[in-house]
Amino acid sequence: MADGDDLDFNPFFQALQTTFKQQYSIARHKCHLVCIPATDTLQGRTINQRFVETHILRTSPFFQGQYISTDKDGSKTIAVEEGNIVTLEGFQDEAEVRILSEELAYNEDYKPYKILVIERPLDGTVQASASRARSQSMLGDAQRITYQENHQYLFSFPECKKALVRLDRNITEFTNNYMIVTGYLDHAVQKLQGICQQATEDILKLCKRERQIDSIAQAVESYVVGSVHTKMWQAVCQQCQKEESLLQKKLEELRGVTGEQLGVKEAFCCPLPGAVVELATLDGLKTPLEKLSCLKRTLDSVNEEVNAHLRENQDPTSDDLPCLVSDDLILLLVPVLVQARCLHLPSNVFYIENLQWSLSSKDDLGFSLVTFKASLEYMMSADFSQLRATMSPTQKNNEISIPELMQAAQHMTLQPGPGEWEGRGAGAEAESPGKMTSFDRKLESITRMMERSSQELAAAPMPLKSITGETGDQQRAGGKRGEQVPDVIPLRKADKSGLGDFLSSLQDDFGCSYGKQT
Amino acid sequence: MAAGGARGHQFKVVLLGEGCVGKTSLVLRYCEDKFNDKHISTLQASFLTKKLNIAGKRVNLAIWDTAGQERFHALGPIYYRDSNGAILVYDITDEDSFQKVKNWVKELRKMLGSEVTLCIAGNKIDLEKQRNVPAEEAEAYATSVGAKHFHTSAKLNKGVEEMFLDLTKRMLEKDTNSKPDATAKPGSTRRNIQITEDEPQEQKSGCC
Repeated sequence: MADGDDLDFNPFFQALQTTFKQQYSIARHKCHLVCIPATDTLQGRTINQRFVETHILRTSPFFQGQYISTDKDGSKTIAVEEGNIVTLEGFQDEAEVRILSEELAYNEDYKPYKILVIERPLDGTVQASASRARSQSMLGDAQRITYQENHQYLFSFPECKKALVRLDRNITEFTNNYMIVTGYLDHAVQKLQGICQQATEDILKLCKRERQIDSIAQAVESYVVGSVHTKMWQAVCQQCQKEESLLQKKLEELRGVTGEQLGVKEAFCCPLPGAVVELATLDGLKTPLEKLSCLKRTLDSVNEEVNAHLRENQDPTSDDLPCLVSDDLILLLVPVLVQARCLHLPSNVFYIENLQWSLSSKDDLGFSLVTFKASLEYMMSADFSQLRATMSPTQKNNEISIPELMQAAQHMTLQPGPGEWEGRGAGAEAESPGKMTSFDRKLESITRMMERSSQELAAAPMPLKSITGETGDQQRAGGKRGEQVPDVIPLRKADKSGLGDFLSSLQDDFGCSYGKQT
Repeated sequence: MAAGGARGHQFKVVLLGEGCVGKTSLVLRYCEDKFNDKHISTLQASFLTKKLNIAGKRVNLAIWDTAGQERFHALGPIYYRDSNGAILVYDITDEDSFQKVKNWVKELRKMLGSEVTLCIAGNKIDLEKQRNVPAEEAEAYATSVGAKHFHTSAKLNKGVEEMFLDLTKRMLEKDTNSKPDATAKPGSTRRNIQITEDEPQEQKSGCC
């Protein structure tokens, strides 16, 4: 992962456990500070006694936060300050080295000491190519989420051609010849798991990349499941049909519901358009990993938007922000699910849970999935009839037209509020092409979906006069916010066949968040 | 994530307990001095991680803060499924919160059996004068259900690190006893992949 380094493959950490075992044992016993330079920055570096002594440091008896190298003379001094190591004495130059991650370590007597993974060695220069390779490999790992990226990665090993040909043959056979019998979806799942496992074994035999076993297994799964997506998705949706029709009723019942009404803490109540846009893309994604990442991005968006809202409204003298906990997330997701019209959420959950085998269920992606499952479960089991009775007709029929959405998106592009940029920590980062903020992604998502919606409109067999029976201008002219808007539900149902699912969803609920934002 | 290939032990720890007993404060106290800026800039406190190295064994703790409100009680199983450890938190000034802990213990034992390692945290010991749960009673109860009891204060940073260390040690013992292959991903449902050499491929004849 990008936030740290895989210590098990780090040559310095390995050397500490083999060649310099004794030094490491003493360091543990005396609870010294152990600094491990990132793997890629150790290319071409000789790991000798001097290097070890520079990177294992004892606490300074004189100054707090300072450490002294463990060579005989204690010739080097560093300080640990705010996520950086500053080289103070005994080094060629005074430099700041970033701490990438920290492990709280305990020795055999369970006394604590620290292992810090640092950006580069504390002394000497790092080859430019090494740091470039590092950033590239980090980027590569972080970005390999989509079907395309995994496909490219998998086919980048020329030595595995034979295994990949066999894999393609198996996929084609599954697509063309395997019949999914209703009620026997499990068998299809097992069949696909078998194909994935076989391919992973084949590839590893041919390319001997033990270290990349997780990446390869994940790429194989993404490639296989992504390739049979159409067939499997249809079968999964069929299996979850009953559950989804119940969900549809709930979503209808909860149209226009707000966080306040559900009991979300007042400080966290704010529109969450970014999360809605993010989640609206879920059905169109092909692989479980893509879907999981979408759920995580949605949660991140909720987090960011609430964070920005809090910062805008907090007491400027206070730096304390209340924390979002699971109780809040469950409730905040309900309006997001309603507005994004997640009719196929049960199918998506089934798809994610059953069609990926190499991901851990215990990490942040697993947590994202569980949070959505909890929110779905709460939504399905709670009784909202009283809530419904208290909702105003305007709330129940909160609609937005496509022109309004486009205007909102344009507004977001051209005039980001000062608080928005600041709140999202964008600043210079936002301009960096390599680092897209969640805000940028939202804008890109909006653009992509608009394009898709336009294509669907163009491809629609029946002529569309208007989405809501009138133009956006007419709608705006017809009434200001707060006035009774025309009930467009029957018309939407009549025209639904001519619209894509997403466009229908936009028409239904999406806009209420934007409407409330201003 | 698939990328990265963490080889150590990955443990899922759930925090259970009534709302307002200080679950979030405990986890924030334990994880807040991370150098990972991803968490410093955010107010998200429902999922945090902590990397540990215990006598050379590398451990990644994924700490899940669960929903504590009564109306979400039924959602508990969704959260604690596949957990290696659970920290059950009560407020020493609130007897009712201790009763809730007892209910959670019963439920966890019923659903996860003895596989899950338990710790009970009597939190807010900075409010010792207002204590309503006798320490002896809580400790005796913990022993009776195979859990360890800790007196904690997230506010004063007391007992927090010790509790997580003890929990991790016990989870490691369980994991080592049950899984000799320490490199297997505990959270993964993937079947073990064994790489064996094929017969030399050149020997294949070209016939049919």
